[in-house]
Amino acid sequence: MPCSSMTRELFLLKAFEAGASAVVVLVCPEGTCRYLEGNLRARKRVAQVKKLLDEVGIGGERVNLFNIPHGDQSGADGIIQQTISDLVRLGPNPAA
Amino acid sequence: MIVGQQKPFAEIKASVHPYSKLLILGCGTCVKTCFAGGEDEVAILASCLRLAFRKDGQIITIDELTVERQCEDEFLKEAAPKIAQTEAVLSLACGAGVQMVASRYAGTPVLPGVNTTFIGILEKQGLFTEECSGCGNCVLGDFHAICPLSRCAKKLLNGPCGGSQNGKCEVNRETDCAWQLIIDRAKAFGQLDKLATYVPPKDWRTSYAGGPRKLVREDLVI
Repeated sequence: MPCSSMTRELFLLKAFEAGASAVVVLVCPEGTCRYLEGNLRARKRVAQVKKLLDEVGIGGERVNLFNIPHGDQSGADGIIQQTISDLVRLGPNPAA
Repeated sequence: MIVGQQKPFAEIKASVHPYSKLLILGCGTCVKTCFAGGEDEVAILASCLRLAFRKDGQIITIDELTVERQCEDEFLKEAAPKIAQTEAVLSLACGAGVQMVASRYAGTPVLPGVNTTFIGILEKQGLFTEECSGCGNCVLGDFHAICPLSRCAKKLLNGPCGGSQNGKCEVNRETDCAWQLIIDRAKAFGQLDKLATYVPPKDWRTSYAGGPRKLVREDLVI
């Protein structure tokens, strides 16, 4: 996506409908968004989806937002590894 | 606009639970503007319901459609084919739209998905405030375009109650005192003396307290 502000709640929910057990949203560090508020909007939307997933009963902890500089491959790897290890505790998507 | 808020998810899920085929019908006007029942909200709600029912091991088919306005036949008729194929309609329109659907498609159960709240404005992004009560006899001209019926907690037409502090209402400290706003505006226009003009007691027959209202425009009836 050109900016994380293009992340819409529906995209994240559709990932879970398609069977995803976890979703991570990687956004620019705060204060560095070239469009000023993009990552802040993404944060609000991810928070909203967390709330929705709690209400649905799947668990909002399955979707998370992380701030990460552009090109930080090792950082991204670390986040994905952590998410995979969290899934051992969370289990697969109960709505898959 | 008419401002509404989507009902809690648990309440909606419980209300559609008996049905295996559901149409979520959105409205593209007021409820879309307040992010309660437009196309995006329909899609999000449909996705959440599918996930919730799948998690419970229940099969439900959910169809989605948003029309421009549910309160007008010209737009609502577009929903006819999908309504014919469903067991129930979950309408995300305001109360008027929900009832229109029920009236035009009497054989299909219609459920509300939105709590209709008030006639208001978008004060700033994310904040909607009540401005109008729909009293049917607008007196904004007497009060410098600040409505004491909808914006004064006590609905006082005669003047301030005297309980406000620092311009805030004594009933709700987060609310601006409507009479403070009226007086400030009258002063700004140099028309403070106009507030001394006698205003007769309000005729409430035009408001909702007088029962369901109707408006007929003979010039438009063919």
